[in-house]
Amino acid sequence: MLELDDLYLAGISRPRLQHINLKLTSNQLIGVIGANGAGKSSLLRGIAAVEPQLKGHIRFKHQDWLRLSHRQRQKYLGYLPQTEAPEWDIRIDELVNLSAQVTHSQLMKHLEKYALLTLKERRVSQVSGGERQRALLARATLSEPQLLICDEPVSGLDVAHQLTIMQQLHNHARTHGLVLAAIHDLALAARFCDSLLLMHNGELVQSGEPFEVLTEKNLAHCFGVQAEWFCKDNGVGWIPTPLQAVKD
Amino acid sequence: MKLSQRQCFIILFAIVILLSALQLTVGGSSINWWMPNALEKDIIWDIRVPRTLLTWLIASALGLAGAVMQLLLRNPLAEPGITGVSGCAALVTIACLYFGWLPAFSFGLPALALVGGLLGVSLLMVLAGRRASPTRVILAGVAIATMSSAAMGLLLYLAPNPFAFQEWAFWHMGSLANKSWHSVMLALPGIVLAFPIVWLGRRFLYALTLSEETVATMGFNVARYRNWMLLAVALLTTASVVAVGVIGFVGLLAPHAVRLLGFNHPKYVLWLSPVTAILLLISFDTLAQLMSTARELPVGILAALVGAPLLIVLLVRERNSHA
Repeated sequence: MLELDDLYLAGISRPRLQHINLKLTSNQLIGVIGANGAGKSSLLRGIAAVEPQLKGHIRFKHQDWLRLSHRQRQKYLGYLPQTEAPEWDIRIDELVNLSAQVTHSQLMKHLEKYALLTLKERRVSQVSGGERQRALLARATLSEPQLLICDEPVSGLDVAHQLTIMQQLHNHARTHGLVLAAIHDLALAARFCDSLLLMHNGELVQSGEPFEVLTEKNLAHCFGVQAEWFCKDNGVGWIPTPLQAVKD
Repeated sequence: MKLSQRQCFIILFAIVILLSALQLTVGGSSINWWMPNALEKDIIWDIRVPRTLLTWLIASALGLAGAVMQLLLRNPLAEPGITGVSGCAALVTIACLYFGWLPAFSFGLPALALVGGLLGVSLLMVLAGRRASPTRVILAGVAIATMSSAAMGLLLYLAPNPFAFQEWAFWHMGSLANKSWHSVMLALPGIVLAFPIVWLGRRFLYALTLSEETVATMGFNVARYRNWMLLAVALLTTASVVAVGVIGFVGLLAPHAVRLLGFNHPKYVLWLSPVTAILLLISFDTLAQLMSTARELPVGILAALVGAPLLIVLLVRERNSHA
């Protein structure tokens, strides 16, 4: 469904992305993981076609993705950037339907799906950070995009909101298509994602199922930590320790 | 009870009609409205009516330009007067008028002055940079406005026409006094062109509630739409400047008045601002005429007296929100 062919993005001191080759199939939730500055955002912004300097090819459903017009891409794409602050203090339902593309009943159904019905008449300044993030995600998914890209959708949210949003991303992947999300919380990523992309210094180190990627070697190399994992039927947890501390 | 956009528009419009009627009745000479004689008819048709019409045109242009700038730059402080766009348009207008490049009335005047308006918006975008903070835009704008204002003064001083410098106040503070149908015709083309441009770009402006990056993924070619909107701002600003000089702050006051009424969504701000601006400018102009004795008070002075404190309030609020 989505093919990345030798993506390259120049940076100030070193390339922000290089040698990215990847094929992804539909109906998956893909977690993009890596330390700060590893190139997670650059990769997601590149795929969302908001990095004008990006070199290489992206094919989406056998189309040259970067050559499509903005309007053509918009039919498939939903994008939630890392930091998004609505400039005007509008109502939540107005925010979700900002591009006014659906009917009232469709909008109500969508608001219900994202548990925003009770909040719809509040203003952006009157809801919590988690509720606002949920509204922004609802905005990005309103057109039911086949490719949804979220840059750190759960950063800075409380645990209940993190779980709701991850569950919604998961549901979106099952019903509509491919979801790519940058995630810092590895336990959350391992629990909800179908596969993970591990980034390090602008390169794709490994991609695959969570436990193929979250190996001892990878964690040490890319995050500088050692970890103890424990698994239950309904989720995973871990206790990370910095490598430095282990040596001491 | 919450009013809809339509209801609010109708109410504002009704007030505008009432105020227009009031504006028509004030002026240097008293008029017998029931049975005007020939002179009074001339005063009505050649002075009062064009003045009211001109107020409508100029105010709607300034209100729309202010709203477009605020939505486009995602900046509640932006306005063509404060950001120096008006000043740049006025500079070219003055050069054309007082150095005999063009006859006093010619459609070439708004066309040439548009170069100044475009120069103003381009300078602002270059100096402030994209994604500039609100205060940075104002800083760049103040620099441009000050420069253009000084250059306007210099041009008027150097002009071959010995009376040019006496019109300094007219160009700097804007005035609706002594206007004829000529001024209406000067202002009309730019405004008629700009409204459809803004209409076609309205969804882009609404979408800009979110970041430019997100807007790019919502189906808009951001660079292309931005340039069209900047052209619209230049057209609207230039149209008002060639006819009545620089009237600042109306474009700042109108969108904020709309927001103060509880209409925060860009669609309300965009389309209620012009009618709110008419309401404001008619009030200012009527007041200016009533206050005037021998010489008429430039209406821009009143607009600035009300507008500048609002700017200060907004700046303080801006500072607190970043603290």
